[in-house]
Amino acid sequence: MAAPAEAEAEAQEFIKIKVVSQDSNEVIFRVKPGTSMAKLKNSYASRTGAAVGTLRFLFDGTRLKDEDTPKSLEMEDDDVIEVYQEQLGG
Amino acid sequence: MHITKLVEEKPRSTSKNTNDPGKSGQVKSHVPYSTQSTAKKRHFDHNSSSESAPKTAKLTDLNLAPSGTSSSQQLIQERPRKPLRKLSDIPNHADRVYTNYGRIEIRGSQILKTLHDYYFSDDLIMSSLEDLIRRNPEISENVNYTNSGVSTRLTAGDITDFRQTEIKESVRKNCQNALFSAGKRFDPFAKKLLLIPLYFDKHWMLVAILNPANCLVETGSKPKSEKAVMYFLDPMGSTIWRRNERIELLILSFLMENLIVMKNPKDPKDPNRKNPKYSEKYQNTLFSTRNFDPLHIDWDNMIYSASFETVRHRVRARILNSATKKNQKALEEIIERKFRSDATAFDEYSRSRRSRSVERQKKDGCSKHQKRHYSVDSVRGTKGHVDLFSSVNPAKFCSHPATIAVRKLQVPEEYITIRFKYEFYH
Repeated sequence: MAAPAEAEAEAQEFIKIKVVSQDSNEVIFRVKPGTSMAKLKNSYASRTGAAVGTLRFLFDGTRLKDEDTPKSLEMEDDDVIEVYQEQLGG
Repeated sequence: MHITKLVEEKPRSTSKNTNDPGKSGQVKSHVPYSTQSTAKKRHFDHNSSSESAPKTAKLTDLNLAPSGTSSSQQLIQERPRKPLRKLSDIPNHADRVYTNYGRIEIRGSQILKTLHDYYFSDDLIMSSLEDLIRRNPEISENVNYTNSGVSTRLTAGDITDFRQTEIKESVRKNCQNALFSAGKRFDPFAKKLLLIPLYFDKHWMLVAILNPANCLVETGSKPKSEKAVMYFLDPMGSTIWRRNERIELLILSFLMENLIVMKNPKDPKDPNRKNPKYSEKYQNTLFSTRNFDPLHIDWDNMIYSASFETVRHRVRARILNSATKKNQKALEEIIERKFRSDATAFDEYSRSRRSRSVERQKKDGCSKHQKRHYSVDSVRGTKGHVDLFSSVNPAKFCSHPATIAVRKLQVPEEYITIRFKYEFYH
């Protein structure tokens, strides 16, 4: 009886965050409110095979810093993080 | 003292040589430049005996060389240099964050973008903008700017859509996406100046809108006396056909979408999305494109005279100054690593040279099998050989309509569409 309650509590702990790229590809992450964004960035970069330095993560118009957490950004379920490629121009 | 000694020794050697007339010419040619100069000085000293005394005194005062040196060249003290490290010994932390401007983090790889032959990245552009604005509190109160995601969204999609002179549905969709990436709190009409960095076709441009709130016109009322002015700053000038007009339409469409979303929020979860300031006052608003007057600006004052390298240097210095000492050292190590790896790559390339035929294959970028058909030397096999049209037939190249059009900088419409693919092959 205690196991489903624990599972529910755990599920409540996690937040579902969508990471959407420029070409509308979605990757969904389940993160704890205290997880640093550096971890999310690195895992997304390793999935896509790109270097972290070449990706730009934006949430609600602001850039994500490594030390940010979902809690500090007041993120909720199904919130969207946008990812852009680095732009190089002259 | 040593110099005076040299001056005394010099005549002895020359007197020995002058005894043997056959060898005198050879010996003269072997005299080093430094001793030749001292000989000249000696000659000058004899001629003007009154001036010689203070001159020799000065030279003796400059006796900085250690005892036992026999040349004036050794007077220059060499700065002690660090021994060169191996490339593998230099740590590589290019992905680490070393400094930040507001919310923009500068990673190690960004410092390389300030070096020669690199393009500026969005991080460098945005951090420079952030730094300029944050340095002065007055500016930060009056200036608003969009993030780099907005420019990506605005110019996304098919290039031909962006080249249209009318607002298409796809452009409108781009504007809506750009609004999303600008964020919920973004209000383009809130401050006196709105800056929109634009990135398109590997080229950075800037749109500055002065008094953006004045481009909203209430129905039934006269337009405001102080007009909204849009400046489009493009380093390429007006070389691209009608780019100014297209940018104006794009930005207008973006502002229009902004206003629509502010008045009619699509997100029912967020009541703050509805901005009462605009929904009440500008219930029926119109945009007047005639409000934009590009003649207000003093262009002479806006032309920046610094070279590209100076700008690069300034940006690099700004990043290094903002970092801590430890991080500065790490950033310098990244640059050092880059230079060293380039040098080793050059060495390896030069060492790996086998023969001219292999070199030619590498240069042409094709395998040995393909080489049979694509041989430059072969008389028969010139089928796939590619050479520049301009070098093969310069007269034809000069008389080509595309060349003439490029020279006149009035590219006809039919060439615009194929501009990126156009290559002068024979």
